[in-house]
Amino acid sequence: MKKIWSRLSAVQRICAGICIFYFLAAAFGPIFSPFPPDDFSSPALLPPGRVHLLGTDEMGHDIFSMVLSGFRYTMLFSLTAALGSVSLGTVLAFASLYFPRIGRGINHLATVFLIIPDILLILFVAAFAAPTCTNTILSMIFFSWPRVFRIARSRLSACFSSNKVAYTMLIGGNMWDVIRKLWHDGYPVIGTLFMMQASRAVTYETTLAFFGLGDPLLKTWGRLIRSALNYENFFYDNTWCWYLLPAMICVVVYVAVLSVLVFDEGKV
Amino acid sequence: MKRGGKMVRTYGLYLVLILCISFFLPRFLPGSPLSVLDEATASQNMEAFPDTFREYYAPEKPEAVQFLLYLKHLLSGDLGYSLTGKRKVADMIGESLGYSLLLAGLAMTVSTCIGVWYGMRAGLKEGSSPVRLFPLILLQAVPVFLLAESLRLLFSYRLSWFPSRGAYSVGMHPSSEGFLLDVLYHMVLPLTVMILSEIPGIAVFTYNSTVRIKKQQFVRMAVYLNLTQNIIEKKYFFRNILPEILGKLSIQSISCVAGTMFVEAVFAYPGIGMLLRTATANRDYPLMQGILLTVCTLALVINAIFEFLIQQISRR
Repeated sequence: MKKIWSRLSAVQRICAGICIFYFLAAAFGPIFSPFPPDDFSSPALLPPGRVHLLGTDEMGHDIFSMVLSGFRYTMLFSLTAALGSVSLGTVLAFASLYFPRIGRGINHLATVFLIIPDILLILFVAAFAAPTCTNTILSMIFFSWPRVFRIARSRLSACFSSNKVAYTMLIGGNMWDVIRKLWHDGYPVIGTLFMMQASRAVTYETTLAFFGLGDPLLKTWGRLIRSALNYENFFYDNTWCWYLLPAMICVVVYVAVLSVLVFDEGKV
Repeated sequence: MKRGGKMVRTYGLYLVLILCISFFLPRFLPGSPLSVLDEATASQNMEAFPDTFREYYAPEKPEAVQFLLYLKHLLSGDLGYSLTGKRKVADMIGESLGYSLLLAGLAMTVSTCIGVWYGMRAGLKEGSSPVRLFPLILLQAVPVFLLAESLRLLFSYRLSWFPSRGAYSVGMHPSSEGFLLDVLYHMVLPLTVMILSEIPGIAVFTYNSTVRIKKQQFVRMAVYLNLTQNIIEKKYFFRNILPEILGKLSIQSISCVAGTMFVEAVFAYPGIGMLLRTATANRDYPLMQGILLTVCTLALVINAIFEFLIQQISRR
């Protein structure tokens, strides 16, 4: 761990620190929230004060509590979607290289999914299917694995043609031997892909919430942004400062930080 | 010619795959009215839909027949009847497609020019560090609809510089005088949002490509030979990064189309995005499926065009 930390530049350390902060906020944040996020018994549309640090919305929810609960949902969505799509993508990338015959078929399938805008498919699924959290995560995994597949495959195919892997296959090594040889060169790309997918998952979730899809009961940042935008006086008074801005800043910082961490691989 | 034939076959395969996705997706989603996984509730839900819906989808027939029926409908250009608009889906999409293409096309052109120029300049500077690109990365992190809403708040409502919705003022139609100017005036904000959201991707990619080439030996050779900066830029950098940029552009065009839809939804611009917003809000299934199919086919066509361009350029 210390070795990894010492290799990072100053900027990357700041970004990593912010990511760790988000993770801790997701784990321990709700302990600090003054009200349960579903509680809408407070007076509506209060400006920020001592009791309600970020004010209340038009139904009486405490905005600060909702922002805190948003950390948890954001982490949930981004981590599970990233884990699922990266696993699926890398496994399929390896399979397509190790078994070249089905590899072509998988490649074509992935290319089709890359050509069509995935956010549209996710929107479609969210509109047609039952609006649960699981469905959203599953659809994100299902439609974003091609991106992982494409990048992982190009990286792995360079490793496949390296001497040590060719030698392993020559002396009749089985699949697991090849994986062991590939792992050493391949695992950095998995970390990069994971962060890329995590940031995309948050963008997807926010967009879904904007269209009013996805689970309506979860107090995610996307939903908070949406209800801020739907507020009738949004354009006329200054409510957006404490209603829209906190959630917006949280989302933008998260995605930006992950993009900066991914950037150095040149794959933005 | 052989390469052309292969490309046609590949894209034909992709088209078939898109049709299959468009057909099977609603049928395999739990909770969808056409679901085959959960026939009982699906047929219950079907009762609520009008006859045109049931005629078009014919859920009582076996799947293979449904698929053939679907293909037959598509060949005759029939995309079904919209539940909310009470008109043919094909008509509604046909009217809106023009505005979307106008917005997306203009945005793509302008942002490509600016993005490539900025990326190359940033890459060519001495001692280039990624810190220079941070504002772009930050800009890219903002979801496009949020950018749209923020700009709309600032420029339409607070400053009242630009109109906040529509493609033209109420009461205007194509034959009234000043229509073109009106359309341009209404287009400024959506176009600005689109350009701002597309530039970072292109600029960062161009920067990475430029930096990569800068490290190559032949560039240093050109510098030693005292070639002017202009020639170096044109011949060495631009020609070499052009195929990669075209590849990036083909992906970026697709996300531009998707982004245009969201911006239109925010600005109530009468393009496909606006249709999508009403469709998702009212669960208008035929319209949604029509939009999905149209946008996917459009994406395929754009990708094919770019691939053709890349092949032409790589051949030289």
